[in-house]
Order: sequence, then structure tokens, then C-alpha cells
Amino acid sequence: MDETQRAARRVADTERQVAEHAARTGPVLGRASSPDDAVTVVTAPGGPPREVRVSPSALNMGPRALADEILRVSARASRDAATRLHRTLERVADPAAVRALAEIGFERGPDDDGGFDGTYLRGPR
Amino acid sequence: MTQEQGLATEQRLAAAEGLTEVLARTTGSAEHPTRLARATATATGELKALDLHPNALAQGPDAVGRLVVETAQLATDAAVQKSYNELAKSLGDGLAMAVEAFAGPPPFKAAQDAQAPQALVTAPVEAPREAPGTHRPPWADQVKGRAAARPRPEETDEDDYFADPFRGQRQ
Repeated sequence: MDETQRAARRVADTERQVAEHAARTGPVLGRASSPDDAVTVVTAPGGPPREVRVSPSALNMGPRALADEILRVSARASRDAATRLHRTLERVADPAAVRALAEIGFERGPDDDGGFDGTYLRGPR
Repeated sequence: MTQEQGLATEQRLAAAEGLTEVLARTTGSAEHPTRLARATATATGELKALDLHPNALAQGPDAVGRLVVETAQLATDAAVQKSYNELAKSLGDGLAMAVEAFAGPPPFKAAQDAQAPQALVTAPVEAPREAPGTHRPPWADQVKGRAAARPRPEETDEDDYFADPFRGQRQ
């Protein structure tokens, strides 16, 4: 077996493990809310926001302030998604794969994610 | 490893690195079809700018949420399309097609493919109704040395024409 085949097998193994894990735990999604829950954004790693929830009172902020708030919250949701992706992969993939994740732009954030503990998504298991 | 193989490997590595960087750097902008929102996003879906029309807020909180999601998706698609174009420019069409083979078609191409049958259905509706008295003879549009064209609806959007130049000739 040459190096290419070994690498291909490793990729296939990792893919299978990750797919099995994802099938058990559901898709990896990041989530963030503004402090007063005016805006909540749910996003998948590396994708645009999947869901943006705006509270009725947030409409009073006016278009400019509301748009800025959505921008801030969606940036936090993206970071949260990247961190969750790391945590998910750490459980199944080897350290090299997890390092590669950071190289392609998914930074691992801190573990404490602002009091949100799996009420929206199923937590780690 | 021969020199040729080494070069190919190097090119592939450059492509992979380039792709990541291009995806994160390239931004695309899009306006929602309702013109109530405009967004700029990177190809990895990160929102960089967002503008909401004052009338958007009158639609209610749920509609604003949907509006943002849809506009962000459009902007991301535009950015992905742009990165494909950049990649094709810097690495050549061959490599860009290879990327397309494993990463899927660029969004606008996919959207165009999906819309092709729709255009055929809507085409007859676009034909302008001529007012009586303004009837033009069938040869009015004839170009020298070419058969007379069918009367065509006035096209203001040339993109539609170039997407399917033969649309006007189909029934």
C-alpha cells in the first residue's frame, strides 16, 4: 500500500466516523442571541445564517440599528458554529484533522459559550 | 517523483490553499427580490454588511428574519460564484472544473440550469401586444443576407438573451 492509498483510507475512515457521529447527534449548528433576546441567529459552520429570529420589540430599533445587531449576532453565531464543529470532530477525528480544521478557517473558540447549554441543540455526549 | 508529478502536486496544494483563502476573502453582494434588504457576505457565509429598508420592518418580525436569511443566502451564492471565477482566472479553467467536480457547480450555473425550463414557459407572456395601426411588415427586422427573424419581444435585459440566445426561436 503506498502513501496515497493510506491517506485515502484515512480520509475515508474519518469521513465515516464523522458521518456516524453526525447521524447520532444531528447537524452541527451554532447559535447566538443578543443580550435582550432581540435577535437570535442559528448558523451552520461555513454557511450563511439558517435562521434569524427577531423579536417584535426589536423592530423599534429602526432599520440601521437592527441590521447592525443582526450582523454582530450572526458573527458570534458563526464563531459558535466553528467551536462546536471542533468539539464534534475532536471526539472522532485524529488531532491532525482537527488542526486542519483551524487551517481552513474554523477557529476553535473558548468552551464556555455564554450560558447557552443545549436548550436548542442536543449537547455533547 | 518526476518533476512533472511534483509540479502537479504543487499546483494541487496551491489550489487547495488558494480555495480556502479565496472563499474567506471574496465577498458577494445581493439585493432581495423585494428590494427590502441588501447584504454582503463572504463565500463561507459570513455576513459583512446588511441594509434593511425602512419598509422591511413594517412586514413584521418573522418576515424580517426570513428576509435576512434569504438575502444572506443570495449574497453567499454571489460570493461563491465570484470565487469560482477568481479561481478559474488564477489556476486555469481545467483546475476550476476539477474543483467544480468535487465541490458542486457554482450556484449561478445551477440556478440557471434550474430556471431554463421556466424561461420557456414565460416567454410567450413577454410578447408585446401591438396596438392596431402600428403593424409592421414581417420583413421589417430583416438583416441583409439573413432570413427574417420572428417578431421578438423587446429585450431590455441582455443577460436573459445570452443565457439562451435561441429562446426567441423556440415555440
